[in-house]
Amino acid sequence: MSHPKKSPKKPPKQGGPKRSDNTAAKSAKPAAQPGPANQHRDDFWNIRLLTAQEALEKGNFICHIVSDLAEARKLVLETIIPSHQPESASWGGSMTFKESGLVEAIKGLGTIKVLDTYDTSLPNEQRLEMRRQALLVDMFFTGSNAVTEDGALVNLDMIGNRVGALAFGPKKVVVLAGRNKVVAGLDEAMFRIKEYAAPANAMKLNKKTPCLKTSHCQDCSSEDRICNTWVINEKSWPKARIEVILINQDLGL
Amino acid sequence: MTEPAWNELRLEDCRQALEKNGFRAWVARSKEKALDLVRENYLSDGHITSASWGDSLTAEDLGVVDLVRNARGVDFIETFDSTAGQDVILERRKQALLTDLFIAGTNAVTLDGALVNLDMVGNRITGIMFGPKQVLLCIGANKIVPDLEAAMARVKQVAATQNALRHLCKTPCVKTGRCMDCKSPDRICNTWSIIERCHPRGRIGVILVDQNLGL
Repeated sequence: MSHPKKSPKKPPKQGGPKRSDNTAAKSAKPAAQPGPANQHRDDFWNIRLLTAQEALEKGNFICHIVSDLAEARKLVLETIIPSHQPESASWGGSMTFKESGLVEAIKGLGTIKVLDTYDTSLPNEQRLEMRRQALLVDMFFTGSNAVTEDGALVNLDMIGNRVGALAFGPKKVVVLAGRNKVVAGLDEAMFRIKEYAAPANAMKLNKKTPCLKTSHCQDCSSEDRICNTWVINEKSWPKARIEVILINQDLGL
Repeated sequence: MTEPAWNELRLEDCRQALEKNGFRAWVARSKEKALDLVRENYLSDGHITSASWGDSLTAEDLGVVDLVRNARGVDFIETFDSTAGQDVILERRKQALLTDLFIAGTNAVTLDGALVNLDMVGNRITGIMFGPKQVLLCIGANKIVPDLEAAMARVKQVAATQNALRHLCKTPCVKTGRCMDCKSPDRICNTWSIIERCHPRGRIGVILVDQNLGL
């Protein structure tokens, strides 16, 4: 892979945005009452999220860090949607977005024309046509298969409607990504996707691909293959078109 | 003459790999043959009623853009019209995603049958990936590389740098002749697309031309 590798950035200095101070929390409490059992994990990921945030912002993305999915949902409903007032919205397949409850919340607003391209009550042909129309919406939501610490989004699609929208079309793209999606660089991102996210997703979709048996990518030629088109967003163009919400929780695949 | 024979082998090798990956692929030995393939496969039965294109010197040089633009019954969306305002162009480029046929080139194609492209705006790569019902790519022999690594190197070091020179961008590469991974506002390298398989099968057609074309 010829992608320029950057040396890992140093974590921001103390006083940076939203950095939780574990040391202070510990010293303030008696040893008999330790902090939450997973505090060290949150602190670990917080540093990486901050590194990714800094790099994404340099690449003209907007980037937020939130502690959980509920906070991400609140950010979308109370800040992002009101400040853009989209007239239409749609989304690509994303477990994180689905789990956030934003589908129901956005439908419930009543002010936004929603293109639900995953409505299984509709015939396949109609859903495909809706997915084409979804390229022209004001606001498109999606997850991301990987986010790199040097500030890129890496995704792999079967159909291409999700990666297509990430690259061009919708006025605004909002990406929700759990901390488990954060990796060092492009090589690790592609490895994560081929070796974990894609086989796990093929299992979820019950595809007839060899990775269902081996759990490893076999670079198959199966008719059911779900790995067809990659998109790597190195920069957001125009500036601020893509807004990323990094969530300090393990979410999606 | 070893070069023509070698080119022929590579073009055929690449064509077979593309076919195996679900693309339709042809080799054209001349400009005239390329135009014949377009007429035969896309313009003979009137199923294309709307078309547009992503910037491609190859498709333009071959006359493929003009052929489709002037075809009877085809509504052609002009996405590179210097007389239209920026907002109008942006809106047309979005509408181009819903056409029957989208024409483009490619920055690199690998011998294992993958297409590698890098965009500033994204309208070209999205049109190739999803939206238009059919896609027609015109590719010169100079775009063929062994694998993904070579493709990305070619795109960054050759195609993007030459394209920045062509568009008079204020990027460092126009002075150095090689990619500096810049943070310039003029940067034209923002979004990559790598297409390993054509989905659905046959959506993307590729004409490999036995000539050096484009950047």
